[in-house]
Amino acid sequence: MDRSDTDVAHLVPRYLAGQLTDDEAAAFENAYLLDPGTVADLEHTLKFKEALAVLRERGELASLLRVAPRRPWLVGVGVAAAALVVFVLSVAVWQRGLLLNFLSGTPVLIADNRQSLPVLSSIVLLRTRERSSALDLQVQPRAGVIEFRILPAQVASGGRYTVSLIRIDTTEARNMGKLESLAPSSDGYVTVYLDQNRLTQGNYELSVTLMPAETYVTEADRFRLRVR
Amino acid sequence: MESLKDADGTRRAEGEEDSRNLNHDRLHQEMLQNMAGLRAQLARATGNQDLAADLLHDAIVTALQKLRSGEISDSAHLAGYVYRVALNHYRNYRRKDRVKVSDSVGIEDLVGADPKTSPSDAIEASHWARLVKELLKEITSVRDRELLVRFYLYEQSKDELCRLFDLSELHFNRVIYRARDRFRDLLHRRGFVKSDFLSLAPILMTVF
Repeated sequence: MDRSDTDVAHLVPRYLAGQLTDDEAAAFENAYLLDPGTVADLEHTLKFKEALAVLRERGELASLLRVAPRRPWLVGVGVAAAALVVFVLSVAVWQRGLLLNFLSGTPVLIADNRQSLPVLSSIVLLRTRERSSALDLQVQPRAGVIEFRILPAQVASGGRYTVSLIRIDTTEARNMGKLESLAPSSDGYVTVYLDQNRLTQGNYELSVTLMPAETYVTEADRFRLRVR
Repeated sequence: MESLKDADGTRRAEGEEDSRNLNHDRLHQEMLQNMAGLRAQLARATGNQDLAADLLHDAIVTALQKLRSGEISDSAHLAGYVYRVALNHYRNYRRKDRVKVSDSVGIEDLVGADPKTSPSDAIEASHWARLVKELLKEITSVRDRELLVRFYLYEQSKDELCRLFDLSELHFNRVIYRARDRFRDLLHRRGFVKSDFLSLAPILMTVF
């Protein structure tokens, strides 16, 4: 195992997380632990982990992950860019014959399908022991919603849930929609509808969190969706 | 040497005797100071501040005994040996707790239990948290911030994160590498890294 700065940057956290095989861990210990520089890296990494844990406990992690840093000089550029994006999106949506739907203010996530958009498919989501890959969604060329029936892992008597949809493959993760205070049905499932026509190709994360959610990534059940 | 193989309690007692003879307290304190991150994470893994202190103390004493007996030939390796022993405890405790975790997506940091942190340790950890907060705010990409949190705190693997965020390995490496360097830089600038263990050398020279 050759020591390089890049190796150490990755091996140290993996070693601490127990993600190295026994042989790799032994090689790491033999090759690196006698090196004062790597020992210092270990200590820094442990401090980093502790610091993140402290921020999580204080409930500060959520805001750090959600809020973009303030850059006042970018506001003007941002407004112009937003106007451009709105214009481009409007044209794109109009070209797809969906302008009316878009202007109707239909959110991406819908708690109850009062507008009676046709349910194009119904999908059950539940957390499993295995790491699951992304769920592929094929957007159909007609208006409609996809029904998601989510079985939360966290259950509390009288508990209510927050369901969020985030676009995750852009430079800035984007909140696409959020529904709060959703009550599960008698069978324990939380049902939401996704307006498929509001989605563009890409990767999304649908999460369900038992309220109150003090942190962003702690308790949520997360499901990855890939829209094609 | 036989006595070294005795039960922990006996060994600990002998260690304390050694420490008196060898100006051990000063060295011990210096090492503990330099290993604050290790101590804090041990406390989280065990959920018990006193147990964590004992484990670290035990690792230091064992390392010093091995240095005296010549099993550790170079005093520059002393800190590495302490980490090796202490991190074995750390990983063992975490492995035990992981069995209770049903899903990797929901893996907690095994830190839920209140380790009853001492005020001084809490203040120190609070300083690190401030630096990490500063570091995260400097990163313009929310995705990169989340990447760091998921990698370091939630310990999701590199492959998993690259898949999740559709990232190249190169990009992932760059984020991790830069964050590590920046944190190290912040620690040094704010005086939270006294010497990276180099200060142990003069003490060792007086002790041995």
